[in-house]
Amino acid sequence: MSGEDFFALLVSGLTTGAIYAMVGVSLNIAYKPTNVFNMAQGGLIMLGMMFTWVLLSVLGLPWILGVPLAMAIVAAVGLVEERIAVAPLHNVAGHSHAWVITTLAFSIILVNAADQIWGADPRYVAPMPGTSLTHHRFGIVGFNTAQIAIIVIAFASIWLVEYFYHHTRLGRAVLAVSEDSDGARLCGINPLRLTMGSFAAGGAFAALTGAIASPILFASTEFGLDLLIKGFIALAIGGLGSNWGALAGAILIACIETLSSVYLSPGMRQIALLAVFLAVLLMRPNGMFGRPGGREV
Amino acid sequence: MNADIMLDVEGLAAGYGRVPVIQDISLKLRRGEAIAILGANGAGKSTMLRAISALLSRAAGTVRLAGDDVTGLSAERLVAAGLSHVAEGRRLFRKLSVEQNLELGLYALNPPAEMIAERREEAYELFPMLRQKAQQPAGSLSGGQQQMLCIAQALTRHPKVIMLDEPSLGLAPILVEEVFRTLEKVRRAGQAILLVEQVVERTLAFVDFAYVLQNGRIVSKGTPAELASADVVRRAYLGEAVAVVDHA
Ligand SMILES: Nc1ncnc2c1ncn2[C@@H]1O[C@H](COP(=O)(O)OP(=O)(O)OP(=O)(O)O)[C@@H](O)[C@H]1O
Ligand SMILES: [Mg+2]
Repeated sequence: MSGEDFFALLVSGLTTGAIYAMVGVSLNIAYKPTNVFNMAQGGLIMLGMMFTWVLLSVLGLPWILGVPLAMAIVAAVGLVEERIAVAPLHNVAGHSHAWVITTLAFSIILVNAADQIWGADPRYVAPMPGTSLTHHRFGIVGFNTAQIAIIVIAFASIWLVEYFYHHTRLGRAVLAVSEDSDGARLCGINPLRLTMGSFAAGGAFAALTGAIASPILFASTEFGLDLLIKGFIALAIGGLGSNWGALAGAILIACIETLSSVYLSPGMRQIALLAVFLAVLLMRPNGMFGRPGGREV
Repeated sequence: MNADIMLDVEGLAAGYGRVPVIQDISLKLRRGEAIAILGANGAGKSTMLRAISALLSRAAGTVRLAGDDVTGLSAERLVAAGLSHVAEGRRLFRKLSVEQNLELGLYALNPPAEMIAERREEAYELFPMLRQKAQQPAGSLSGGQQQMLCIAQALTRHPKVIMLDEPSLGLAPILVEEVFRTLEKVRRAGQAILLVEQVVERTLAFVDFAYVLQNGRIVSKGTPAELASADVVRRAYLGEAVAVVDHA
């Protein structure tokens, strides 16, 4: 295999990694104030893809209008999910993990509804304006501008999310709630409102993820679960709750996936991915960027 | 209704799940006054504070703050209304800096930038060592420094009533003194203090009035002088241990 092929694979790995990272970050957004791992996040990304397809390809809206609209719709769906699948659990006494079931149930409803409406066929979504799938080459590095756009948007959006958490009043309130919910209440922060906001924001981010992924993956009602699993592995490697960790973990698994698709037989690919996953967890049980959970007193 | 009564709790009952932990708690706290809640481990002192500050939902009882009925307010609304609760165990946002912790402490007031700077300055004047540590994560402070930060976080809100749950737990004697010196300033400024403490003698020397809690009920109350003579404090506070020692 030539160096050129290697670099082409690397760029493609980076692109896929950028998408997986955004999946992980969207999971983190919903997870932060709630400690709820939203099983329906894959479904929300799928919805983002499908609405992007409907708004851009079917209705012909411009990207700059259609994608924010898809984000707003999926944010509303995320909010509905929080109201019916998460909020009622606050009233259940004791430490409850019932959200595993309720968010999974919501996910199943989403996927089935989408399948009823749109079917499972992959749908074509054009690359975002100003980019194309035409191959360019600089020296031995080959790429297309659609890939570059995905990588840039992923980095920029993750940076924006991090900026929000660390440099705004509301963002720090979310961090406070995620560290100590009762302590935050004693400062006057209302965790329930932040939970609603975070599910809506997680939905919007999921839709953006679906929107930028759809030109290279196609839009399909069948993509949700696979993306959810990749996002989850990225978080497990990078550290649950850490956004830069999600990025590092995602790029790692995407590069292993892409490179092994050429160098290894199909059976060995899964093993390679699992081996790296296990190696990281053995060395750093909380992920590369994770910190031990719980409060030291 | 006496306008000088800053905190008026009546018939309070609360618990976890169906098990009642505290029952029939009534107490009053006046402007510029400090009261103590004494009781053995597990007597229900922290539960009582959590029920007053609405972190824990109440099974019965009313709470009035400076004359207003605040029984229905959520914990976060109560903070804005002027009730600060410094919880047990130095609850700080450990990954965030000292400065950010102070700023979060003011969240309920929705303060403009100048006010944040002003109140932060107040905290640094109260505890000068916080200024040097301003940019460090709160989790890196020593136990005593963390406690000072917790107290500063609550005081900079200028609460009408401040409730502190064992602020001197685990502190060196010199720092315990610093806590009491600070509380003395707070009292003189006219704020009302409700103190849960383990260091009985030092606490009784400080407060104007004290309640003794046993198995979730108030079994005795009075001025420090009254309680000291009654001996009930030692008994309730140290529980069985006193009886054993007495008979030894
Ligand atoms: N989260 C909880 N769930 C169930 N029971 C609890 C919980 N917290 C406390 N309890 C129980 O309630 C009772 C009172 O506990 P509480 O913490 O209020 O006592 P305390 O007087 O503050 O004790 P300490 O001096 O040890 O702080 C204890 O029997 C305790 O086991
Ligand atoms: Mg206690």
